[in-house]
Amino acid sequence: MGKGEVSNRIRRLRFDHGEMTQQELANKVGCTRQTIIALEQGKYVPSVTLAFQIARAFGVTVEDVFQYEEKEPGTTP
Amino acid sequence: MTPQQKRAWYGLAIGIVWAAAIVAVFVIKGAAAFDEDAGMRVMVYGLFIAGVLAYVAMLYITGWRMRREGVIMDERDRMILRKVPVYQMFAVLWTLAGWAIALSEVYHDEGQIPVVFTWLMFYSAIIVNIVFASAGALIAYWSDEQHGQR
Repeated sequence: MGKGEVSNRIRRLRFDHGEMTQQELANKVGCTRQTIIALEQGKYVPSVTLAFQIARAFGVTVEDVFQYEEKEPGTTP
Repeated sequence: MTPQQKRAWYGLAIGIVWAAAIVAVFVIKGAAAFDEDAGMRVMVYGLFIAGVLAYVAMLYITGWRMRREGVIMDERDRMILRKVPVYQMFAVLWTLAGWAIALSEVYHDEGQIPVVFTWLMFYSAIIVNIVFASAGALIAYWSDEQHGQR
């Protein structure tokens, strides 16, 4: 199985939810604003628990927030 | 900057002032005076304990203040801070290596070292360990911001 990459739509969903700020989302899910920033920049992949909390904060499923794309072995990003 | 990064900066500032104060005493009085001058020993012990207390007080005060403002540590912080003991271990090892090389070079011909240096090695290892609890956290955050999860 190749190495996969997790992307997310958090920034889009925040704007779709009344331009929710990063701090508001962080307060809702119980993390720091810097973690939301790292998530949006694709520098951090959250735990399953945090992924569910973020999805629940937006009222959507985890798959609506996070996408997993598998890369074939040997392909460059 | 995360609350843990702010704490690390405060800790580093305390650590640097603390280490500088102890080094200043040894530079002014001379390392040899540690064995002979009881006043100097009291001063060094006092500074040593004061530094540890200041560091612990900073952790309590910043923790109490930051908790009022919201979350102070989350899963990403924990992931990043798990790297800190590695930086501490290397810092202490390099410090001890520095002492070993310096003392071997200076006292090679005598074949023995003054007893005071065993205490200085012990103090310096503890100080470096505490300073690198903060410096290591800052390095770990910097590394994570540069490279993300690896």
